[in-house]
Amino acid sequence: MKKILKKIAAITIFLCLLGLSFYKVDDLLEEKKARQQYKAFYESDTNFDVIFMGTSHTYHSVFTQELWKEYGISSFNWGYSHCTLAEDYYLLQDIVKFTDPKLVVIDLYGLMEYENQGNKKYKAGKIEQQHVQFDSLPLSKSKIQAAYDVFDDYENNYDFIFNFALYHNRWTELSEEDFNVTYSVAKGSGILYGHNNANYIKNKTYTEIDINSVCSDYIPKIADFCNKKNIELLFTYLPFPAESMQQNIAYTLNNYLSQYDCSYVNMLDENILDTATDIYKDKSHLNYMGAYKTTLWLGKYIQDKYALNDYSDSEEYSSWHEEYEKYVDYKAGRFKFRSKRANLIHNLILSYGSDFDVEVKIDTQCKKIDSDKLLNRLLFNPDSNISVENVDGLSYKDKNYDIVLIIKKSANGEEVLHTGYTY
Amino acid sequence: MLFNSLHFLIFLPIVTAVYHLIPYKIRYIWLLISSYYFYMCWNAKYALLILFSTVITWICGLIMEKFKNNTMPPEKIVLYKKLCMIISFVLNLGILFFYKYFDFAFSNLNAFLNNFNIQLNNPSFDILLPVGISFYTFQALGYTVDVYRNEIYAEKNFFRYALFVSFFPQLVAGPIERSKNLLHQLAKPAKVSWEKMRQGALLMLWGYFLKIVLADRITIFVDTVYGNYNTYSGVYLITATMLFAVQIYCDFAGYSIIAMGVAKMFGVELMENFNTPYMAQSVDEFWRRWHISLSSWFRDYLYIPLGGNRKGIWRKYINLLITFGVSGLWHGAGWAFMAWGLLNGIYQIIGGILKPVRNKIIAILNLNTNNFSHKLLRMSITFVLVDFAWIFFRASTIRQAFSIIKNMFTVYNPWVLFDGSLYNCGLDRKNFTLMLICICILIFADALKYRGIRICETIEKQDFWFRWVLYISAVIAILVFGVWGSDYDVSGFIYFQF
Repeated sequence: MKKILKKIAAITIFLCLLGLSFYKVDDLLEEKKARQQYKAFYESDTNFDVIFMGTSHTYHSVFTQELWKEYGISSFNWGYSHCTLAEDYYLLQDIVKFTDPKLVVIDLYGLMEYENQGNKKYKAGKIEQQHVQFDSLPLSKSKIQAAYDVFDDYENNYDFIFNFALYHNRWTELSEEDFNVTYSVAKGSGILYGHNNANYIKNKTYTEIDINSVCSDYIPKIADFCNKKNIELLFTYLPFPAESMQQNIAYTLNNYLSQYDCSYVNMLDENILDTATDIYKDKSHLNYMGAYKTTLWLGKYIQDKYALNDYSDSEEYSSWHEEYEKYVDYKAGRFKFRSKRANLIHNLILSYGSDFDVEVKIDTQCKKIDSDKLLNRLLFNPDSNISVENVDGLSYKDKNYDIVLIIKKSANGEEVLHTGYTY
Repeated sequence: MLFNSLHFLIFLPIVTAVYHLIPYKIRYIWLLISSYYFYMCWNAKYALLILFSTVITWICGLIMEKFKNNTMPPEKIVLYKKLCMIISFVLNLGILFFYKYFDFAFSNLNAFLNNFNIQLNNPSFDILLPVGISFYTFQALGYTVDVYRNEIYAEKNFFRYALFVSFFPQLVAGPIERSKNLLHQLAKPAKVSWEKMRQGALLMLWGYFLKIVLADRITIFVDTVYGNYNTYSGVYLITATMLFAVQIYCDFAGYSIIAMGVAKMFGVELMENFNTPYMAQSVDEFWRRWHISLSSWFRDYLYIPLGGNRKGIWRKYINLLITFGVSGLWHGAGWAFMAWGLLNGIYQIIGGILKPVRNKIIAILNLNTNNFSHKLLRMSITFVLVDFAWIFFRASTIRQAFSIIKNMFTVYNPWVLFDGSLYNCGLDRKNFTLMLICICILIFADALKYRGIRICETIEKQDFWFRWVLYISAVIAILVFGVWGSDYDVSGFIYFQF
């Protein structure tokens, strides 16, 4: 008997060691995007009053840190590329286990958008993108249900439950980031820096569209879930250079959602964007400037409509101020130093808002600048915090430049960028 | 249910745990149920085929046993026993023929009749080749012959006999067990000690390493090159062909070793199916080390009954060709398989004819045949010959095999070995390097085995902490470096198709 007990003890210890080793290796090989993105959510000591959900449009258009600064709203952005409403439904069930939101805002860009891509729920994007959100979730009933419902037509849907099956091959691509993970300070949001001129033509009249997609079935489910949990629900159609069909969908959703008694705001109608400066390279997303404007508009809207708490002066939320400073440092770290016009545009877009004071000195001899419409639009934007000075013979560090740009943190005057550009 | 599937990794612990918890007397019933479940996971209907083969061979065995003790004249007994054996062979081989060779035979018959402007209507049977049909059919027929030859007593217990035919570790890809070895073990399974369990687990680990780390990784390269043999010619094809030799070895030996490990957990010792085949110094020796259970089956039940080497040298050569031709067809219904088998037979015939010449050269050059260099030379020549024959095995048709051979030797591109081009054939630099490291591990392990050093025993002699570190590292390494999971379709073992 003693011998058997000894054997059982040995086997137990062996299996524990094996399990521990496996856990460590699994941890190392896992794609770190999910952890980078959502660690701040899981480890937060404070409540998130607002949860934003949706596709990349939400991810790149709603900056939760800016909402905090402007309105004192505590929120987290759970939007991500190609995320469908079906996924939102299951994600929400797990999200509420960690926080107690008063409002959930879901953008409906993806509602009909992915129907043409195989009419399969998971086919909307690459499977790796879908993993980012699900990988962060601990194993739960809703996660298992999601794996078999949302990804029912994906042969390897078990890898949403046991993602080692997907990531064990990552030994070939391990990098320093896998050993020293850096975490996002943007509370779920993702900044896009590029720029493109978009041609946005607003429909003169709208046509009703038949809203009947795989994902539309999840609208009443989400509404019902929020109702039971006593959570306010707001659907949006965030602004971007929408095509005619997309404008019609955004318009139709007004009537469609009223049947479920759901609140909805079509932000395409609100003239928030300047399509000359606010659009990202792909002409489908917003760059930092457009997203900043959208965030402020949406923040005011939900603040007014739902009377959300302003925690700016709350002792409990004091850590949010420190986190915001890190966010400003993060943005400051993204300014580009190289002397190219594209970098000047990049820096002017990224310095938009109230975090930075911008000084621009222009050599009066440089006439090319006068014909640069985009640059002039950015420099002389009445909403921006840019001061422009014309100077005869401009030099910096013994070099002559056409333009010198100085960016300082508004909070403490710390200079984060001082560089020159030559046309 | 594949050995390298999640399903099996759940199935095995349950079957093993229940086996050791239930009374000794009914354990074989539990194994029988488990074996049928294992097989029915592929196609439940085809379990009827095993059952049919089992019933036929069992009844024939019992009848032959009855005749043994009969008072009839001996020649009549032999006649009736022979009749029983023929019935068993005809029925079993009939099923095998129908499922495996009907299409092949029909299309060839039609091609022949086309010469006379006759066209037969192709009867459309929607048939899938039942997994492992060749293995269990041969195992059951081996039993019939053994009873006929009075080498064993017929098994009276039907369920025990049914387990002999369907024992799940070796059901679908061998080893093709002999009744003399397996039946008595199933009748009185040995007590399973912790050590046996550990040995079994260790064998399984080695088998999984061969299969999912090595064979499945090489498959990616070989499939890429052979799938585009007009693009990847010259050194690409030579490399792929050399790697295919390793792939098929690791794939098949991997399965056999896992089977041996699993069987050990039930107190059953299966025969060794591979004994360092690529260390062989002649093609003849290769076949004594490769797929031993099948080679010895053909030797005992076909080659020797044909006369073996007892009826003169030329008759021996004919018997060799017949045996290897049939062996080729056993592997697949196609002329390429037949060519592969015959080529291996021809190698041995030429080897036999040239033996005096070879001995003379050795004597003239005063070569020491016991030297490592001499053995290495013979091993290398044997490997080249066997590997060349594998081209016919891997190609879909004989025509394709000749195209591959042509592309192999008519394009001069040795630089692809040095300029990184080989990393564009499905395996990147890291995976390719890992594959080479694993091949080195395999060669090292085989070399030790060849010299009679048993790695398992050496490991077992070490202190527990060292063994634990080794076991845990091995499990983790197989999980991490194995080719499995979402980006990969769980691949069957090559020999399942036979």
